[in-house]
Amino acid sequence: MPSLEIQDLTKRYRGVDVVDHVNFSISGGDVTGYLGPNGSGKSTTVKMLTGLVERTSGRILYDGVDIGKNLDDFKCRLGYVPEEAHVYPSMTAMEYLQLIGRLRGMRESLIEEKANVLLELFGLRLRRHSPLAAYSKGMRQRVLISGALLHDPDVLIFDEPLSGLDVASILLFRHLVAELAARGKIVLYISHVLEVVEKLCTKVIVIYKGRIMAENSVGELRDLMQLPSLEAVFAQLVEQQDMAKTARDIADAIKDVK
Amino acid sequence: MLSKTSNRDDRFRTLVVHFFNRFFDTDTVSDEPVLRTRLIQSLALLAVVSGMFFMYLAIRGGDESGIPFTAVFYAMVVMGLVMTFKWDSLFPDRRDYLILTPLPVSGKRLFGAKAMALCLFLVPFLIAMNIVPTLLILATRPSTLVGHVVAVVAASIFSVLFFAGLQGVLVNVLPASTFRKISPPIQIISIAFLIMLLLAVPLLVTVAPFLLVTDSALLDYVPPVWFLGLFEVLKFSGSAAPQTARWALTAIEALGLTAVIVSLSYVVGYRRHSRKVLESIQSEDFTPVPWRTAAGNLLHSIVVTNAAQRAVFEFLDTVSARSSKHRISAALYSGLGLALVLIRLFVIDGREGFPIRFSTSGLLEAPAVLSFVIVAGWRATFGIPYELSANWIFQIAGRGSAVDFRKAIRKWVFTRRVLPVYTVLAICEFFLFDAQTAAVHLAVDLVTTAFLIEAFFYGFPKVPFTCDHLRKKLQLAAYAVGYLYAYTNYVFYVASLKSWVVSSRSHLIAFLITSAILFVGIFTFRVLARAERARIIYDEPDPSFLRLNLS
Repeated sequence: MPSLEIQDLTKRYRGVDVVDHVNFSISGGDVTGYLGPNGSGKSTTVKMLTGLVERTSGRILYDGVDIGKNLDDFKCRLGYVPEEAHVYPSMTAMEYLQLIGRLRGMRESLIEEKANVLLELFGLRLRRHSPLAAYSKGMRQRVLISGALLHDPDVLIFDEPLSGLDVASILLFRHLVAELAARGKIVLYISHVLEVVEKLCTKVIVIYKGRIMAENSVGELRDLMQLPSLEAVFAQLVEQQDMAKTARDIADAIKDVK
Repeated sequence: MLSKTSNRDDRFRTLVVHFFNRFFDTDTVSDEPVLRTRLIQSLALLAVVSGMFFMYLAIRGGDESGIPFTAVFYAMVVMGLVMTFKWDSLFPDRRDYLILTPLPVSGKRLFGAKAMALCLFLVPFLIAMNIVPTLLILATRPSTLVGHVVAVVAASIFSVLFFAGLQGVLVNVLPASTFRKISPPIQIISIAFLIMLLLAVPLLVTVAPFLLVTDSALLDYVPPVWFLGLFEVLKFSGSAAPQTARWALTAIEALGLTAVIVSLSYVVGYRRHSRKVLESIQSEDFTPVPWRTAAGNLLHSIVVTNAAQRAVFEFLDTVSARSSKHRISAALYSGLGLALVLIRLFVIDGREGFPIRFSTSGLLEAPAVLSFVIVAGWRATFGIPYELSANWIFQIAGRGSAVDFRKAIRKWVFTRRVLPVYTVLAICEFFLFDAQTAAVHLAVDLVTTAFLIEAFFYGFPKVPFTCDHLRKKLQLAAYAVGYLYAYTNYVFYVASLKSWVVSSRSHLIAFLITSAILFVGIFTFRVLARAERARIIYDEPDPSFLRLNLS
């Protein structure tokens, strides 16, 4: 089984460690949830994994080899769904997948075949020649997922993949992730939807202010902290504010405008 | 190995094609074919206009170096304009990095493909503008053809490298936040300056031979002259005059220097650039500086006194400062205005000595020229949409907003665009005229500009930047004729009015009283006709119909 190991990974912006000596490892077949509040360093970790952001220090090992030694080779094995649905709006779904496939060095016939199959399965075949600008957020997300799966990657990173998806697509996606993991893929799953993480992930990593606060299976985390749900564990770990009080403060702040 | 190399070549080709298409890419669906068509129209226009101008030069004959100098000058300006129009797309942008970096494409290849795509994009412009002068030279002086082609191509490359190098150096040297701040003004000033040069070609073509004959040292600092030197050297196969040889050498040195700068900034700096683009957004901060906040508060308390007006006023400020396409549009009109002012201020007079003289009547016309171009320019720029899908913010505003929106638009044009220009003009006026005359001139200019704004924005049915009225071609032609007619008359009558008002105190009083009556009349009419309350029209983004296929 392939493995991905992160050792002392650090990113510093203007003297602040937004990711601070992070260590964890993921094995093929695991679905690892990566949780944390906004600004905790989740997306920066992912961007370092995908080569979007350079690391300040630390190592990322794929099957024991630092990905920096041959980043392109690692990227060939990587499928990534970004947090924001960055696409070229004037391209159609088919053109977008063709671009991705070509840049991944796939054969034309294979791109055509895979793209058609994926778009069909994701319910986008009839709209495959419409520009992405005319797509809803959920439809764009399905195109991005298709793009990430097109080349049968060994490592999958999903950053808020459910954003904009309808209920049926969410259910489909959950089954898809489980199926991919069962086939030995490495899956890193970043989400704020704790309910889905709880059901889907075999392991959970909680990051807060750039540091890992916990790393364990959901069940063990609940048992260790003697809390009933992942939501309660999460709230405890990241010192969230008193939500009820904050809600009252907001309601107070907006009154007396008229 | 072979398949790996061919695979890489395929990817590179894919990237080049992709980046080439990105030059026409916008965030809206319908713009791409429109932009492609517009590019073809621009190339055709370029070929026709340059063709007509060079034909005119050829028929006029006389000066031998007219065509080569003009061709070199024209090539430099047009290539510079293309580069400045595409200023934001010279390097891969944030969207490119976000989509392409996770793919197995190295940064070097990304940049190589971008550079190649840029070259492919520029070549049609080079051909379009040079096709006629090259044919003319081929027909009249075939022996100078090589010199002409080399000089024009070298001048074009210099212009391209200059702007690419300028941005490359700024990107690499400055912190990301500083670069973001100074990049828009550089683009605007460059476009305005180049447009001004382009439209002032007749003046420059008239001055150049005079300076050449008098062997003016000034010419050593004029880049087109360096490449003219290259033409002369090649034309005479090495037996050219010493000054032309010196210019040719400067041309080669300048070309080499810009090439080195571009190579360093692109080849060495590409990694730094991508990092800056990807990471800069994390540290992006639009916190207003204290003096701006204070100035804004002062303006709010005096000029834009209610919330709805303030909303539109600030919206116009923000969009005009941060949107690239609106900056370009404003820069085009600024360049046009400056060129028209130059043409009014300096007239060709070949009777004796220096062929250009200063026109005092042009001095009276210049403020009117500028105010007309500013007001008409912003009226047109308001029609370019910023983010149509964000229209709902204005649409959900409460009753009575239309009145405030219209007031805010007029106030913005007057205070933000007209007054700063008139502040600069006031300095010139008080320098050139006695205080009383200058004050009267300014008063007439300000009052007439206020009327001009009323005329242009009477019943304006849109919130600026939230509408998309790309008019039909026939309408555009009608507008162009109308604008030209209005411009000519406005400038002439304002200059005449100024002379008349300055001539006696009673004229001044009559002018002020009539203006006051007219303003009251406009105000009363507006209230009675309820024109201000007329509905504001909003355009929708590109229609995207989703079929549910329920049956």
